[in-house]
Amino acid sequence: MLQRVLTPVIGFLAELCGWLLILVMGFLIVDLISRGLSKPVYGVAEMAMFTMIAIVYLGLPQAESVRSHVRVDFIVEHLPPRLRAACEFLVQVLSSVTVAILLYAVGKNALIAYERSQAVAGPVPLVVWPVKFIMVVALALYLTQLLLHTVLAAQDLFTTRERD
Amino acid sequence: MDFMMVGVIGVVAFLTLLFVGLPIALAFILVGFTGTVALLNMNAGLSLLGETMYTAIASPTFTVLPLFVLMGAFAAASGFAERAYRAINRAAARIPGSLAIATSFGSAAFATICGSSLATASVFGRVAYPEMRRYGYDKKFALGSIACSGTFASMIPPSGMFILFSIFTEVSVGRLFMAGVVPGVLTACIYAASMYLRARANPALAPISEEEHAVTPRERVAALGGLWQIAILGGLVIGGLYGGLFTATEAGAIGAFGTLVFGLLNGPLRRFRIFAGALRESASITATLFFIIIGALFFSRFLGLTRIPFELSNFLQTWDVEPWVILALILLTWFVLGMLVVQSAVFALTLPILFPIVVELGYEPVWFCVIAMKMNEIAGVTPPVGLNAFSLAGAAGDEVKVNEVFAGVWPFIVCDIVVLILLIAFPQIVLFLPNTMLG
Amino acid sequence: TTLTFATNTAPNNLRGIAETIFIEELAAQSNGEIEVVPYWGSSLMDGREILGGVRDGVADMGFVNINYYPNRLLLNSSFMLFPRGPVSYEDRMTVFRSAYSDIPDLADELSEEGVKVVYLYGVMPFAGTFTKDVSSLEGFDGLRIRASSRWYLNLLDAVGATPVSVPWSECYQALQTGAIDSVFTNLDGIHRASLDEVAPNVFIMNQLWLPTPFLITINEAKWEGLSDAEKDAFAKAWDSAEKKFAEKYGAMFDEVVKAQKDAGYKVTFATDEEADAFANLPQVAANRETWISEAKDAGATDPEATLEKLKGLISASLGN
Ligand code: NA
Ligand code: NA
Repeated sequence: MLQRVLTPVIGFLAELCGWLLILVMGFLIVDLISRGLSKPVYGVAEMAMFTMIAIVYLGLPQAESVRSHVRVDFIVEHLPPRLRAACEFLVQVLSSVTVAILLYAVGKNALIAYERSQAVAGPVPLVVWPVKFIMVVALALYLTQLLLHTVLAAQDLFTTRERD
Repeated sequence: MDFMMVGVIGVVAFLTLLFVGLPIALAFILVGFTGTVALLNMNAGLSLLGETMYTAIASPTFTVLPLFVLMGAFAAASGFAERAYRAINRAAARIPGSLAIATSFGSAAFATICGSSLATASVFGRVAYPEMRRYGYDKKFALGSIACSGTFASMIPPSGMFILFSIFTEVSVGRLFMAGVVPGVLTACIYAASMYLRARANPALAPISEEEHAVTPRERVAALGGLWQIAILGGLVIGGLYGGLFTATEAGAIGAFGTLVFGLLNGPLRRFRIFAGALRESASITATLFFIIIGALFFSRFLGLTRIPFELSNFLQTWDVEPWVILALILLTWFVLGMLVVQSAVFALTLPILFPIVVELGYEPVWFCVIAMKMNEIAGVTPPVGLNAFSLAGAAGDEVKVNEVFAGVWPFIVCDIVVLILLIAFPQIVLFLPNTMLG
Repeated sequence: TTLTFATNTAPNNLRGIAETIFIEELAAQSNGEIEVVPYWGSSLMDGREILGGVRDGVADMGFVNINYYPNRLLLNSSFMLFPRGPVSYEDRMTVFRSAYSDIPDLADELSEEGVKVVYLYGVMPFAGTFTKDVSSLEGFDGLRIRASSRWYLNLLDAVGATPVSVPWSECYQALQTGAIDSVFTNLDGIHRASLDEVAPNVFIMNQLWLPTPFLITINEAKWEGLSDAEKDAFAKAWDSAEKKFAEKYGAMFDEVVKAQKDAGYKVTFATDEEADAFANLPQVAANRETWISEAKDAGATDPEATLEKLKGLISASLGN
């Protein structure tokens, strides 16, 4: 059920990330041209950096939903089905725990950044909390997707056991 | 608890989780966090983790990586690999193993505009493999050629892997790019020579087709003209860096933009589905790759906290052996790890620790990164974990099994080892370009 | 007591030497009771993370560069509003130390971040390293110059330059490629990063004193947990480390200048008139206005008073 709501949201964000890459490219070309013309536009390189950070985090839930996070699976693949299902379940649980910790740590960090108006040093200080809150939202979606995969892995472990 | 002990347990735990199948980035983070909490406390662990997740990539310099990924994706989607392959194939007609030689030089040409080995191997898997099979080339020979030639994309600039190395060692990207040119071309030539010799000794590997006999000398030369777009784009990026016109990040922006323009002019990128696909793919690579970088940096901070890198380098500096023994041990470690672990993790795990040691021993930083890159190329095609081989097996179709690819790579690994020995014996091969160009 | 210390510098340069001397003096003054375990070269935390990291106990002590925290250490950045200052190392340290003892706002702001200053040192004065032949302030006109502090970018703008912000790690290549014409920063930083290699016209502005005290801070809770004898050792170590480093500083400055001249670079020193011209730019007053209004927005009660006190200390040191 939840997956049906989640998939389009995650898919939309993944699509958005691609277009944001064009934006990064555009920012840097503007930076290059403006600097070449001795009329530098302040903060363009920083905006490119913030956009890049957003791309990285917003792309994580999609990578999880299509299971493209880089992992070593050649050992797991050679295990007997039941052990393999157990391994898969363990991996999903550990992944969920890790991302939950991440979400908490980054959330806490983002709040502090907001309260103390943490900023990037430059001609005009640029506050960093907006991008940190994007990171929080992205990690929350990532965690949701992981929990759904954990439920699937648990079902799989259960049915594999019955088949034995 | 003893700091060193926590570190050792951490490394073992990391490798265990990795082999159980936990995504690398998460294994780095989970172990790094648990270890930091054990060494300090919960509050400090959460603080360091939360902060690293942002600062690890919060540098405008890092935007260079997605830009070159984007450039590669545009290039792959625009049919540049096909052009390179066809042109060189025609120029090399009638030479024993010409289709394989075209794969080697075609990959090298494509590598000047694409920074990803995986993309290169999979694109040539779609382009070159069916051709080679159509003319009766030996399956393993064909697959080995493609998988190994794909690795040029990392050695010949632009290169996503060099950018990664630069992040972990703080050696300038521009310098690394310059240093990879000669070793990359050298490897392509040695591959081509080995293909020629093997095909001549055993014509069954690579039969010469009727069509090849029909190619006139004029056609050979004309065929190379098909490479002009690649020459312009590659020349713009490499030449711009080489001639000191722009920085690596700027080269990335210009390269991606130029490839987009050519892709639009040539047609393929005008199709919205292909264009959006290239964007989506680049974003996805950017996300997964940077997540590994973030995890690796957090893990290396945890290791830093345990003082293992510090004690290890102290030990190695006072260890009474010749520096080359240590270098040999490092190469051996990389070879073994490269077989078992995904490349990005091998170097994310070892470079932050080994790099300062090696530099302290008197080895040239840029040279060392190129040696690491050579080992990275070997790691990409060696079983059981060889991403290039997987990527090729996926691209070449259902009838290709990954173990058939692995079976074909060994003669090329021998070539790689020959190149490696040359680079170690004559560091000038590596250092000549960056030193003369960048001072 | 064993204390961990996070810094972003390597141990083998001017900054590393300053920090090492302090660590050694701490051990000496406490008869070996206090041992500091350093994490050099950002191996534990990046320069921008250390303030928060020391607050949260990631490290007990840490190096803090005020410029990295534009909003969080706004009051402490007030030094940057005074371009002209004393030249000798001793005089600079006197100004910095009296500022921290006489102006409670500075220490209070750090206290809000959960840290306390236990030592401070200075680096070499401002210099511009140019790709083009520049040997006077007039030469700045129309050139693209990189600086890190926002207050100095404004001043460079006021002398006719085009101020640009390029990441420190890209400066070498940016100079080499002509993306920028100059980097304006502390002389030792220029030489350490070999920027003078690609931009061999060095214009040293000794009178501009680099108004950034480089702070060594400690976690407040950790500080409270120390014995009186240990706190006393910290105070003594500050005095003796400062003296020892001051003795080395002059020679290190001369060494850099000599190395640059030996390499064939053109080294010019700014005249007093040029330094005054820079320090009397209308933009200096504008910077102070901006700073005052931002400080008020951030809740400071009397930022004007802070500036007055600082002005007094610096004038006294300059002897006028
Ligand atoms: Na490449
Ligand atoms: Na491998």
